[in-house]
Amino acid sequence: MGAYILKRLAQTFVVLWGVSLVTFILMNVVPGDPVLLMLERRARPEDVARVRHEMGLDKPRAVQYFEFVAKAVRLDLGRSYFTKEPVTTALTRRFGVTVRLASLAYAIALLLGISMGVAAALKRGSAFDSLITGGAALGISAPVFWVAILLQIVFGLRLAWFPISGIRSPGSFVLPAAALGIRYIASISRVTRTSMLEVISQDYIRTARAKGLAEKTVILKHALKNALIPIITLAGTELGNLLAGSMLTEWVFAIPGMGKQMVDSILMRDLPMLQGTVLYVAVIFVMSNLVVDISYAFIDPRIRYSHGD
Amino acid sequence: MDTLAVQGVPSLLSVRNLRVSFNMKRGAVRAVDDVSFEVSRGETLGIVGESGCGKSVTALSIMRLIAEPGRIEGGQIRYGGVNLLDLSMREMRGIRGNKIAMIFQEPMTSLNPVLTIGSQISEALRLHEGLGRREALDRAVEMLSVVNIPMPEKRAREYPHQLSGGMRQRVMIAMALCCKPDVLICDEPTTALDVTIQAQIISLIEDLKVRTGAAVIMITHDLGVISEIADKVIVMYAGKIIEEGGKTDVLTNPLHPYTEGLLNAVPRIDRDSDELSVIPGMVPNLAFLPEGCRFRPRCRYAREICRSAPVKASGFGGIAPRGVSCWKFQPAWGGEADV
Ligand SMILES: Nc1ncnc2c1ncn2[C@@H]1O[C@H](COP(=O)(O)OP(=O)(O)O)[C@@H](O)[C@H]1O
Ligand SMILES: [Mg+2]
Repeated sequence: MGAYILKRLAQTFVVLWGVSLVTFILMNVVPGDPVLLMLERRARPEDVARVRHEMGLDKPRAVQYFEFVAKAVRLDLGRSYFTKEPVTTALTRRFGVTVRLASLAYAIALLLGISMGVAAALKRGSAFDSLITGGAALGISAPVFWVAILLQIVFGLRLAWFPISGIRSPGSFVLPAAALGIRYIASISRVTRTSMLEVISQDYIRTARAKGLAEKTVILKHALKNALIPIITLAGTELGNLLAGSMLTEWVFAIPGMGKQMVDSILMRDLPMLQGTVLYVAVIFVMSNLVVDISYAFIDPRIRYSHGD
Repeated sequence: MDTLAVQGVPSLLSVRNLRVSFNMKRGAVRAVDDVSFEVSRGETLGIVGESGCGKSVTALSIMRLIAEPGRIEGGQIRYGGVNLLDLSMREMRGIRGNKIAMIFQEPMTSLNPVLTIGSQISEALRLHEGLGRREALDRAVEMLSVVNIPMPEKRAREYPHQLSGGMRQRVMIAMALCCKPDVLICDEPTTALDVTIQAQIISLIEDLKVRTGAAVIMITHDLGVISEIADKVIVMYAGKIIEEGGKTDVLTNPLHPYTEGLLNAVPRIDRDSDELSVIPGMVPNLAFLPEGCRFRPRCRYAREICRSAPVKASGFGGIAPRGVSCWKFQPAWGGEADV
């Protein structure tokens, strides 16, 4: 177990290093000179040279890269061209908002997705099953922004139950989280149903029943724990999509999170901010995969023991 | 077909006229058709037949573990003065794993991969005997040593994938026996194992049967297992019992041509190996049964009369009541029945 986690940690470091390299290269091939963007259009050449020197942009690329990494590990991602605020501070503030939105959506999706999937599997072939399966097909194909706008119109404008923009009250998170979560409720319930159907036909489920266990124990203890393995895989890979989806949702609902930050910094060509955001998102993505892999090991002893121990 | 009546001893479990069918797309198939037998305490009943003859379905019916699209259509399963088919699901769960326990064919897949051996055994103890977590685990460890698993404390903490097939089958036996069941049903417990391991498992079951006095139903397609462990035997073919009797009687003097064929297919040291013969043909698809005797298309004695359903003939002496469903033993066949 320990060896497995160490191995995954080492892999994660390699990936993070790759991420930093790719981010750096991307920022250097973006068209437009950042110094010219920062200064007045009619800046004097000597001012341009001075700022370029101050920003370290006249050093060789390799040196720039190592300085970038050295600063990044100390959580120094530079300052915004425009607000002059340290990128890390801005990102941390905005990240908090995104985390609140994404985790609410994620929690709803896991809770509803798994319970609906289990119920559908147990009532296979029933009208309820068709409803869930049909609903899931619909939910997966519906684009996030379309769902978001629909929710805004129905619950925000018509019924006026929840605010449609900003984050002034906790209620502000309801519609965005729903818009973001629906897709994952759908995909998680679908995978849960399939996985559950496969697991309940396994021999060990028959063994559990042959012991005289109540159906509830058979399902929740013997079946669900096995069925969770593909669900975790999905939930893990969807975490990245969830972040992407939250960018769109934040944009539609005018929520000041990472997503809005990224779109804003692209529009304003705020390179340090954009670079920081990309790096931040990539790190979160990699870390969430690490967490997923480690949680496998906790659920599935075959993984836990097959890597040393 | 009427029931085997064991002389004197009241039977512990008796199955009467059991009928089980599966609703398939092309219509229902009857996998178990009018099957009756009984077992008494300390007795081992062997059920033999080729694959697909309805042995597992019979066993699962006793546990009432037949799932969709299967359905128990009729008959009785009498245990402890009641018909198990009349019990509620809740009452039935009180019987399963407690009074009647079962061991399955596939030890590799019959244990839950994500739960420890110890917790899988102690589960039944906590449920049926109301033991606490600790006590149940201690008893589970004890059971592991009863089934001769070395280092039981360590094994109890391990997961199924860390054990060999033979070890897993021992775990299954420990699990089945932990609540001291009256009836132990073994569905081909050694089929998936190596020959040397097979012998160990069979003698373990025999040993535990003697110790606990449980009745054992041993399902197998291996007549070697039957000769080792059974007291009496029923032979199934395409969902029906075609022959029954005491072990020695059936093995040394098979009446039904199918039983005869099965015995000829067993390699024996006292016979030339080239005499070994398999029965030609296959068990018929239950959806397309031949008319009359179900074995007729494969039977070398088949005659015109076999196109109508055979009647059971009984008597023949022997320890346990003997019966055979074959026209050869009916007066209509002519004088030379005992060929
Ligand atoms: N789950 C099932 N679905 C459909 N038919 C089944 C099912 N299980 C058993 N059967 C039918 O019952 C017959 C007997 O099966 P089984 O009792 O498993 O045979 P065996 O004697 O090899 O244990 C099979 O040939 C098949 O036609
Ligand atoms: Mg079978």
